[in-house]
Amino acid sequence: MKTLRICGHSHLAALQEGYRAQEKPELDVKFVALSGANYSPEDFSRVEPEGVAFTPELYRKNFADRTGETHINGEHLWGFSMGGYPFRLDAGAQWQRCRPSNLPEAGKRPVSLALIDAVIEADRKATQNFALHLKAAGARFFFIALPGAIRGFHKNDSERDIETRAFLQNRARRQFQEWLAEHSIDFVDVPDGLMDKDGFMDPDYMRLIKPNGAKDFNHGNEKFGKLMIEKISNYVNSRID
Amino acid sequence: MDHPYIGLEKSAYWRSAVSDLNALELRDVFAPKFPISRSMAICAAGSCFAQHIGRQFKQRKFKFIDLEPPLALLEPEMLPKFGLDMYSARYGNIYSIRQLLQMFKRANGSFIPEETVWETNGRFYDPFRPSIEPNGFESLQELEQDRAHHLARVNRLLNVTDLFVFTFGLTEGWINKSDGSVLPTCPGTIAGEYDDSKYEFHNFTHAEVLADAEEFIAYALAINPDMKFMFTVSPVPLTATASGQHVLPATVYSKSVLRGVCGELFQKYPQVDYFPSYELVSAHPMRAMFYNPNLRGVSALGVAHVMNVFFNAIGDTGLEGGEPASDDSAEARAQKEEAIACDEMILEAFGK
Repeated sequence: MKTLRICGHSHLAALQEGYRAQEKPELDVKFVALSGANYSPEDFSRVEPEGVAFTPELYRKNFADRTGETHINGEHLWGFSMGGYPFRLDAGAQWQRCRPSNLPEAGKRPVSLALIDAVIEADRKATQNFALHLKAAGARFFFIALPGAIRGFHKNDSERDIETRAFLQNRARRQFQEWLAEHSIDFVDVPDGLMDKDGFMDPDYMRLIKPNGAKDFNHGNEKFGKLMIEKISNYVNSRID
Repeated sequence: MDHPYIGLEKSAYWRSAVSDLNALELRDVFAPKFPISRSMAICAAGSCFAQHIGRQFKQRKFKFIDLEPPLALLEPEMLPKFGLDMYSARYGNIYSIRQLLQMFKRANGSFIPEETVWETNGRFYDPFRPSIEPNGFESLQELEQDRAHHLARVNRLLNVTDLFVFTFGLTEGWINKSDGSVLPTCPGTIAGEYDDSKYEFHNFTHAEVLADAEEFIAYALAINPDMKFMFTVSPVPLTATASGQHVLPATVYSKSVLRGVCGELFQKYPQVDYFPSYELVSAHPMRAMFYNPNLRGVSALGVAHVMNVFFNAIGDTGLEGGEPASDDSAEARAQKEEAIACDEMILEAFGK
């Protein structure tokens, strides 16, 4: 049985639950959670002689605690569950006042697509740099899609709010995938049928409520994790390493 | 025999005010005509040196107006590339007072230029703000939407301003022959296509700059009779001149005209003050020490010096509840300086 290490943040929970729910796992997976969330646009990795090291102290500690190692290099196969979902862009209150220029609305500031792209790029830059560090260190890795958001989940979401959210989410997701493809980095996407035509998730596959009782608008549940793990397993088993 | 030059303040005599002092020790170079408080709503515009002034007002937590603020998440060094976080709206650098005046007229609908778009390689540029989208707008519709929003904001600007800070940049400009529209950059440098049958060079005279400035002051005071004005002249020399003269005398002409106009406005209007940023950097007692090696760009140290003189004079010695601005590391200051957007820099590359 092939082994895999899956590393990331809060979205690891669904993958781990899905993995544990499998009757006959096809992979031996170790989950390495770095933190609860990563909202920082700052770089979080660097290349060192032994491989890629995380730079935030919390990441370094969690990584060492969960792996007994300090660096990522070519020794193991890694799947990274991060990037591609513009959490901060989506959650930002600015979209109460602004609209992408292709979705104009009277009284709202139009934002050019070039400016939106610059914001999206700024949001994913640290993840891209991390991927480049991994390549430079000769690591064996791929990226794993995060689930999309849920339609109309925000309070008082208007149709235009939803349309905006879908546009931003899909644009960021597509650009991240294009960037990965340009750099020959594999990507395991959300299985077909879990998202609607606008890119919103089927709520059946979403957590909906956080452990603290608050609404959860973007984390998958065990059912989602199980389908993702199946897709990841197929991908890993098809790899020729 | 008694006469008016006896018993003046030390600052009135060259020897005691300049010769006997280190250039960094000059005192009372700027004595504000009116108080500037944190409660005043401050608006800034002008040539690229004006960005330093606006930035300092923001860093020091003054009530600096920005009616087109940046979106969250855009990295600080990206902001000037999109004309954001530079001034009080997304109008980019404004090098002449005629350009400023026409902007407000476009905003209130009293001036409608004939040429409103430049299309270059399938991208669309605003001739009056060619730098605010580094690669132009995706479509004419996108440009028009943005401009409509922008001009609506500009039209509100003077209604919410207590202090208008304007940095005069230069007298040379490019004008659309058909209607006299003043462009911030020569067509063909950043965008557009140069066509001498459509555009002409114009070197504004003292009389023209003064008339434009007085028209602007009258316009602003009609909106807000209590408005104050702080005028400065950029110490940054011309990158290039189209006057046919050597760039040195061309620069001295430009700066002399602008300085002269500011002096006249200062004398005439109780609401107008002049801050000598030009003198603090370019006057000979400074021995060019505040310029970068190219003798054009103002160093981070020079900018910090000018800003400290200004804020010390108005009674503000540092960031509210924070570190004094002069405590920025030289490296940090240099990085900030690099983030200043200067349209005319393109001319330097163009001239190579």
